[in-house]
Amino acid sequence: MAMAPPRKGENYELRQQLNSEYRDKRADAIKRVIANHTIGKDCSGLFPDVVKNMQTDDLEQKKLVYLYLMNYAKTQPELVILAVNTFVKDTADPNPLVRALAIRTMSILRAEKILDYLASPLSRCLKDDNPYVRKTAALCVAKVFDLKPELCVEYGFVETLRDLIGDGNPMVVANAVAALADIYEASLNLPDTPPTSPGRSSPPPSSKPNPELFIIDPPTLTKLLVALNECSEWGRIAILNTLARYKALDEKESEHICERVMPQFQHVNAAVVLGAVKVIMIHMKAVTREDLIKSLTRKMAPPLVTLISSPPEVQWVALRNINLLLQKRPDILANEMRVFFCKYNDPPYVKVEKLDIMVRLASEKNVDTLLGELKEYASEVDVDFVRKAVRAVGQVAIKIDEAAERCVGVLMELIETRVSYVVQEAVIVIKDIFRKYPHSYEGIIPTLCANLEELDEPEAKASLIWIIGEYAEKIENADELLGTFLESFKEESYPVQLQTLTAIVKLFLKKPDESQTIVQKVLQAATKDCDSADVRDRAYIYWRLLSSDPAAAKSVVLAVRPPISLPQTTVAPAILEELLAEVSSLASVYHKPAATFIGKGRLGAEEMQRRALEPEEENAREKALQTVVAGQQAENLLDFDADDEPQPSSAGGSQSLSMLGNGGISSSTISNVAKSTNPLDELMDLFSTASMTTPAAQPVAPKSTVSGIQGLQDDRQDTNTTHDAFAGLTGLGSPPQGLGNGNGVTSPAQSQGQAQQRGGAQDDLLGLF
Amino acid sequence: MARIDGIIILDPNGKPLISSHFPLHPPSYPSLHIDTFNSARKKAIADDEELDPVIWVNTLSRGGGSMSGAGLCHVEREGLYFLVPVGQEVNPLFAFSFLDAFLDTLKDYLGEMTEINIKDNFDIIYMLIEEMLDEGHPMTMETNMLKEIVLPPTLMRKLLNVAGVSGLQAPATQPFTAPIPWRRPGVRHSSNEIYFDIEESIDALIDKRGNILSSSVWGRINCNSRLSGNPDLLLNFSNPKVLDECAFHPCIRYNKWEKNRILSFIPPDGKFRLLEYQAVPTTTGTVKNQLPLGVKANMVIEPNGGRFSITLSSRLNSRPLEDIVISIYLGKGATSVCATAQGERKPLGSRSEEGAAEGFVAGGNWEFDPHTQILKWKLSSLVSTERSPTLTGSFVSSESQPTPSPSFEISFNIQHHSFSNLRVDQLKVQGDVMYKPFKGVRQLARSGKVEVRW
Repeated sequence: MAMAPPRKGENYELRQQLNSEYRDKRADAIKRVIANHTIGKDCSGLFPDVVKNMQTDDLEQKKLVYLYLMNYAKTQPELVILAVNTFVKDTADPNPLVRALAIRTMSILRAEKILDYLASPLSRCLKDDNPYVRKTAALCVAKVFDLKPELCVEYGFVETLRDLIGDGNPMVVANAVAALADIYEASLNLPDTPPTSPGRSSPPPSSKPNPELFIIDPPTLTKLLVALNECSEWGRIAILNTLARYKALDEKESEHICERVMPQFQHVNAAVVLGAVKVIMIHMKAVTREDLIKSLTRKMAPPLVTLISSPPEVQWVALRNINLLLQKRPDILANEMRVFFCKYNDPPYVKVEKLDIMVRLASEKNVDTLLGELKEYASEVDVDFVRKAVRAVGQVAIKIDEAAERCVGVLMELIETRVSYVVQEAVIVIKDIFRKYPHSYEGIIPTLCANLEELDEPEAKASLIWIIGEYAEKIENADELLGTFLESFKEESYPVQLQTLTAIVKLFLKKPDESQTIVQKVLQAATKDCDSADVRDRAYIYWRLLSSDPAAAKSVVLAVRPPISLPQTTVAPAILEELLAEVSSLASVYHKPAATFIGKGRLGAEEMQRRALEPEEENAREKALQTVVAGQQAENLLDFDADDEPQPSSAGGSQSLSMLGNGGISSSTISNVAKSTNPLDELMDLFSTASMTTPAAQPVAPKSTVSGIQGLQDDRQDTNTTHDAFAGLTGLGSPPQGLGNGNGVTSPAQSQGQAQQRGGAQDDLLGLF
Repeated sequence: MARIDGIIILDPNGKPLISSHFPLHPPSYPSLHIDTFNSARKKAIADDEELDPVIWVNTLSRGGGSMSGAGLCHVEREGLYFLVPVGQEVNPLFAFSFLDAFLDTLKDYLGEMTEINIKDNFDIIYMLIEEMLDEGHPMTMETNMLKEIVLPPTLMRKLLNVAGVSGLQAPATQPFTAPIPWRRPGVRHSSNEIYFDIEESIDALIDKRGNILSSSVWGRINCNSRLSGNPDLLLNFSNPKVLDECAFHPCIRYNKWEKNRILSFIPPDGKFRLLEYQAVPTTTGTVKNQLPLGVKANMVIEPNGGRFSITLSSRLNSRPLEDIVISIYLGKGATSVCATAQGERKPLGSRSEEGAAEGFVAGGNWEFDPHTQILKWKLSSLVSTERSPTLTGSFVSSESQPTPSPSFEISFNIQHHSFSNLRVDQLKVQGDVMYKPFKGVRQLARSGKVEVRW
């Protein structure tokens, strides 16, 4: 049922005014319509009345009417045609502003019907005398291409655009480049593009659009490089983006591009600077001339530093990008660390980035200054930042061997402040230092133990317990200290329980005489009173180990661990390469390749995993995420630093040990001992032991040895993730020799399949040992 | 490629004032961004955190671009929020620099950027955005040229509108015909003048002992050119070496600078920023940029309060430091401050009568704002010859362990001074001009972000 328009209300009033005989009333009404639209009121009903006002000499009024049309054309496509005559007339108006306005509005309306009328005015406007009209028309081509690519091909608009790159007016050049870039991108997304040869020739004259529409051939390149120095900052950004896409023919050309782009570092606009950095990072790969590379890296640093003085938003983006660049070329800012010193009043997001960069720049030369700074930061009030600062001290210690002692000194000073969160963070950090430099700083253990009562966070507690367990033989009252944790065993969080369990077993193996009772207590508590499968399972393993072969237990639990190191990069090398190609874009800010958030949504994330898998290192993060999603919730406390080493920290803990009850070892086990190339590999602990005692087992281990018994399924909470997680625990029931041909192999094939599937994720699981 | 989706202006309550340029997107697209921004902001306020400058907005649909979501770049100015959604893989700095340019233009047109101003002139703002953005591509960004196309709101025009006369403002009918994109043709001024303002600011971080941890001097040369015709200028510095890391206005010929260290350019008409630079420390070697101000500060924290003392001295013999403000954040719970500012007024050189100028208090004034917990000590001027003014006092806090900030900020101005000692040697006017313009150079040195730790 058609409704007659209401006879009152604001729209009725507006309609009256729009049809008024007085010009100023009409002008006023149009303004009000636009105002209503802004605040979200629907004004589509007024469409015919507004269109009537299109023909006017008042440019301002015309603009507003056009603005209205753009907003509502989509909802009233059949009415748009009413306006077409005026549009076409306007494209031939003597005033260039009107010509440009008309051609632009027509292309923005996105109505198929209009498009047919657009073609000939557009080709006229592309050759207009006035540069303003030309540059507007240039962009229109991209929009037309988006809607109807055939039309562009038919009228040869794209060729015209290519000619416009050589236009005398730099603004026209800039817009032509921008339009061509848009067309190029749009053509990539076209559904059924015929495969084209990667040649550099111009596209064959066919009506099918061709993704090669915007090819940069050497003459175009020359034009672009000339235009680069002449056009506005926005045009430069478009040109730089295009240059980044260009594949240089040979080294000579790469050099040429680098040399011509370098002056862009001097531009005021930060986006231009970063765009230039991107182009140079990409084309530098092909450059082999030492002196040029040197001069490029030398000149790249200062403009980046200049960005640090910008407003915080720009600073943040710049810092994210610098962080990325440093991972590839750590030398570019080697002498500029002071620039990154945090000010108290910097926004937190800036501070965190600066801190990260400072650690990256840390070297023997500047380490003292850096430590002084970090100490300063540790006295601030922002808990999060303070923790990160303390953590940074630990990272420096692990990164620079010579400075480790000074770092420990700083940490001890920090512990003396007795500020709870500082102490806790320091304890966590010291644990890492112990792992890197075992037996170097045992002198500080008493101080750490003195702070036992202050610790209330699971991670800090677990760290301290780990330290006590590790150095049980040196700590006289280790049994007492661990005893206190044992008393509250049931109330502790699982990570602390796991650590308590392991530490007490270590203590027992080191001082068997004094700790017989305590170890029995903890095994009892863990197997009987604990509701975490992981804790219970681990307790069972220990129990079995201890009762069947104490020597094996010793070699397993007290194995020598490989030292940890600080990775140079926070993202996998392959991803880093990809990100560097995207420097200055959103991807570089998120430190995730564009594929993860562009295009196919979640599919993109899978793509990321696939890529990440290629480099064996650090691939585990995604897997970990999956596992977490699968319902795992434990924490791997000994993971060095989740921020720095993306590894399956949270997954690791829970996966590592899910022994099943009823006394029997009943799970398919695999030892997917990660390739020892992985520096983050903590799980080696257990296996290395196994292989040490049983040389025969060693060759087997790295190849996903599978042996084990299919467990009692009903006892498992998450079969999915647990039953393949059993790296190398086969030997536990029997002496380690059993590894590889353990008791009753039931389903090796099955487990092996899973092992391979999940192998990567497990690299780290056994860090707990 | 380099494309943004549109621009949204929100009032302080997060309601949209202007939302433009989303014809490609479903109508829900801008509101989705606004909602995401508002809830993120609320959350940030609740958590006492600051928002990341780029927020991820899940737009679900694949609007215009190819992303399944969009980045939302935002800045806050004068209580208003300016959002730029980026639905494509674009340099976020691109969005920010567009916003920057947009805000400059807006300021130029509206004078003050207030909610009311924006509401009153929304039609002009829409027209501006239309000119500045074409489907997300920045189009005409030079204020100079925009003014030819979109007339700024003037009293005259308002009167005309009220009187019902329109169509009078037929602007230049041949825009953009100039061979030089940044200069409109046929400029005429009755008196030909050009002014250069050399403005330098120093960023510094000073440790407990008064040593400079890091410092840098940033300079910019703002220019106001009112010259007829197409003048070609040559600007010579007596010591161009101090200019490091220059960022030039596009009018500057880069090659000439590289070769001869001379700035050669045809200026735009009106005000513009000619150059930005970082100054190389004047003294050679490792000596850093010295702060012209000596500070000795001490803070002792006690239960429920603390004591502090700050002593200032000028290291500058030639000029007075002016408008010195020291701001100290005394931490959550600080309730009151009791302090005395001491000092003595000794004029520099012969300008003795200035000391008796109205309202001058030896040692300056201090005030404490219990809402922001910031203590401010203000001195109108400081010279090297006077006895160092000090502020000593104590504060009371409701917290048993007060946590004043570990550093305080200093700001100051120095007229007619330059940290880097940059000097203009000579300005030559060439080209098709027959006049001798009046030339002026002014220097101003001020503090950027200066933090002193204690």
